[in-house]
Amino acid sequence: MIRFKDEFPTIDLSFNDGCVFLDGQLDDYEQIVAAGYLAACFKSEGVVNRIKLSGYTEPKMRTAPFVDKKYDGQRCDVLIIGAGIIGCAIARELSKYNLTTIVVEKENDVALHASSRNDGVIHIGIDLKTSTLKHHYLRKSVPLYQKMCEELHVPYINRGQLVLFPQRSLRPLMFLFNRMAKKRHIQLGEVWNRKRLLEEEPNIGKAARYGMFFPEGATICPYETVIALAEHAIENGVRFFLDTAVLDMVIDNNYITKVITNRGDIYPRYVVNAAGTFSDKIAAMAHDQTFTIHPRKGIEAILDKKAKSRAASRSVSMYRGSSERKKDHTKGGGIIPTVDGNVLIGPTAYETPERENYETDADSINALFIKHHDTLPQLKQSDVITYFAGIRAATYEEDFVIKTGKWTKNIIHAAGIQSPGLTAAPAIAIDIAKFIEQLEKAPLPVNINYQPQRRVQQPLAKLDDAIRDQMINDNPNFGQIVCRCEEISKGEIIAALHRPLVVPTLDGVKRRVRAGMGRCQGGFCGPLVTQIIHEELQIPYRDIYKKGYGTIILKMTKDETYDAL
Amino acid sequence: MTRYDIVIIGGGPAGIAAAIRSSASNKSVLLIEREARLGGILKQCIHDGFGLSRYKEKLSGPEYAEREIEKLKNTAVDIKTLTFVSKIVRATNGYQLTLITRQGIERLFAHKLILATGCRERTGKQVAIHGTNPSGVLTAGSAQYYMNILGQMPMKRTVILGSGDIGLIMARRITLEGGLVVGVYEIKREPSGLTRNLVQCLNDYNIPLFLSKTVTRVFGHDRLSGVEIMKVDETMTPIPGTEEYIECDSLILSVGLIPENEIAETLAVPLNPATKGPYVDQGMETLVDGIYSCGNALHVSDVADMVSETGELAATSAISIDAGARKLIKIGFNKNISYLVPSHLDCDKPLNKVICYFRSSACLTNQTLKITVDGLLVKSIKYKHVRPPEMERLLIDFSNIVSPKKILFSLEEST
Repeated sequence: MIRFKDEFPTIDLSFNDGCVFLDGQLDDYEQIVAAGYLAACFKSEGVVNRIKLSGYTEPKMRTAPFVDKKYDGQRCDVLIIGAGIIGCAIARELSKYNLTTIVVEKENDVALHASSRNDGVIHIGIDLKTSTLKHHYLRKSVPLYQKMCEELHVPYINRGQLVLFPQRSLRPLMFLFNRMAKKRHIQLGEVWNRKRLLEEEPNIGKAARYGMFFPEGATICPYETVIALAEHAIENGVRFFLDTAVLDMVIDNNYITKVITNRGDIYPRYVVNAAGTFSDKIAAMAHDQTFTIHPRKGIEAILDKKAKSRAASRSVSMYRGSSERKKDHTKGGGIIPTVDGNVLIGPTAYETPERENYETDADSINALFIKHHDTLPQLKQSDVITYFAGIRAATYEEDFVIKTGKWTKNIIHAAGIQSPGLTAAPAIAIDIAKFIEQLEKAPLPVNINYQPQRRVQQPLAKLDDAIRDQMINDNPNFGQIVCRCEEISKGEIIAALHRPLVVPTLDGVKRRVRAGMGRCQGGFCGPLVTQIIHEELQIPYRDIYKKGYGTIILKMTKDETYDAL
Repeated sequence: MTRYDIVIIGGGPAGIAAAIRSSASNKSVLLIEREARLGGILKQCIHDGFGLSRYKEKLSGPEYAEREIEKLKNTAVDIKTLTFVSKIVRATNGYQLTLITRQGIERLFAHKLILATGCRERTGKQVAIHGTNPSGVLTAGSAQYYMNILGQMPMKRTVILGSGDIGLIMARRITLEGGLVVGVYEIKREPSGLTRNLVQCLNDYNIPLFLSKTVTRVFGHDRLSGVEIMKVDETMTPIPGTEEYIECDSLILSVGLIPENEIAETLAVPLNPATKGPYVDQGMETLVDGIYSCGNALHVSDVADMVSETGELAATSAISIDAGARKLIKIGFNKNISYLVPSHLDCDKPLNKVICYFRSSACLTNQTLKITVDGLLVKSIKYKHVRPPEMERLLIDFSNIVSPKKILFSLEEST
């Protein structure tokens, strides 16, 4: 307490009902974050950091600018706010029960924030403290993952995870690692000497003296998995309202009675807060904020499939000293072969007050290549086909917030989800269902019509020629290739426009069937996909977007762009 | 399985020319095109300037394509459109191709392959443009497709990055369609396009060209709202403090073309890093016997006429009798030449009419190209100006030489 007052004399520190509250104003954003971390050292349920940054106005949450009554008056048992992997995994879990579930998402597709902006790694969690919820949910999720992906019919590739050690002197660390693994019930790592390393991964850099191979590590395609979770939930009765942002709530007698959105008022019995970087804002609306999100941005680069032969066959990373790791709050990033055959490098990590500014910068990409050069020296910046930023929803406790409301009785938080949130999602979803059951004080009625297998068309290029040939005979559009980089047919693009969750945008198609994901980045197929959307769904050209509302492609008139609104 | 003596992949100008020439033999020939119609990128190039050397006329792209397609109609060449080559594997004395068509999956055998797969455009991310990821950032070719094929306008106020020919042509096209081109920005100190395009597309329409400047960042979360421009130094690195903001709703990229050689790579055809196309001899045969390369897949040409020509050269050697083992010599060149096609000479192929293409590595004046074989001068040509964007073509007779060891192209200041 004394130390806090010494370091932040102008900040008002208060305790209320087990939580720490910080109020005041500072000139430096890093100081605000530092104050939050320091406050997290007090034994409390959570830090609510309300310190303002001088001269800074937080940008308004980006939402579709229209207001209508499309969903006005909807009633439901459970309203899930946010369609990232957490919201969608919960939706799918709840679809196993006879509940009316609605998911609201402010974007025009699912998984547009942290859930798609990550490296797709299913972590083993060796570095997680066993007292954390991160550890708890990760270890419970790992055994569930493969089955979940099988039911969803999405790739899950278990190639293990390789940590490289640059110095001989670090050898004792490997024994420590296995002690940590044992304690966490992680399948033990194998120690590989330089010779073995080169046998397994011939492209590994000279710097790697030893390696430790953990067989449990896996990779998924993050957006494909979330889209699959959402579609599977829809097939089993859940409704998704896209372009629908929660703007406020009405709280009556410690209960949320009404949720106000830009598309009308919704009346839920329970609210699940899975709102990612905005989850503290949602908690505040619900009069139930016990935590604060301080966004942490990261940038990753995706390399051409051709770079695969110069990369490794599994995720690799060079062990960095703990001081270096602490500095950037990540496991140091790595080089990951994606399930689609590309190579991904990243991520970086830095604090930012902005919750959804996904600008990239050249310095970050340069830094990634410098940082990982010693791991796989043959990878070059000229292999990069694209790059992207993601923002982690970090709390000052650096842990997930998975709990029922403290003051408001019918909210459940699945918040503060950052890495390893992608891994932890299945077990979190199960627990959220249990929380609802506890609040209901009765077992949830089972949905007897629940279909555990998602219905989906596998990419044709991955099928046996005989099956593919038969499909082309049934529908010649499957034999007309539109995206040549990824070998995607017109038939598959048309099918993507008739899936359970239709997102008729260039990115919506790209995220579902990979048209435009290849090395030409849609240079050839972009206009063709636009044409197919126009013809198939009879959408006028001017109303076809690249991604979210306002990202118009054609027939532009200045005053109609979203930024101008 | 259907067998062909020659299978040509790609139905643009190079592939069509190769098909026509191949048909002048008794060989069975198949031309494969993945789009519904032949012509390749010519279909969307509605500007003129095509055919100046081939037809001694100024034609539009579609007109040029039409003339070529007309010639093809009178041949016995089999044509498969809407056909995508999914896989090629080596087979005894040839190659087995797996094709995806609207009729199903088809396999066929080719004794020889002519790769006429064209090129693709480099994207914004490949030239390290950062910032947000809005709509309104398009490659010149995509913009051209939207405008000339779909008849849709993707911009109002545009910045064009890159002074390559498509960038210049699109500057004019956008202006003619009522859009505003704020300026064309070029990272190099010299424009990248042909002089005639600089004059006819920019000067005639008062569109400003800015050299040694590039786009470093884009703004706007939905539609593009503006770009950041920076000056660059001699190493093309942006100079801090030179940032300027330009308001625009679209950014058109003409930042280079990359020959498409993914098929060649799967067949282990060695590629030349200078051209990004295969190394070839004077018959456009790659270092893998029986695989030929032509058109923009071989090296990015300035004009379609030269693309057609390399198609013909490839076909001419593909239809000739197999001479057995080739006698290949690598052709050397000095530093004033950035690349030379062909990279090799096959002493067992005709040597009397060898067509060579080269680009200078810088803008130079008063130069002499000296071609020597084992130290003996074979040919010497004077150039008043040479510019990297203007490809030079020459015809050389090497037939007098017997078992040469060293061939050298040397571009030097005239004495």
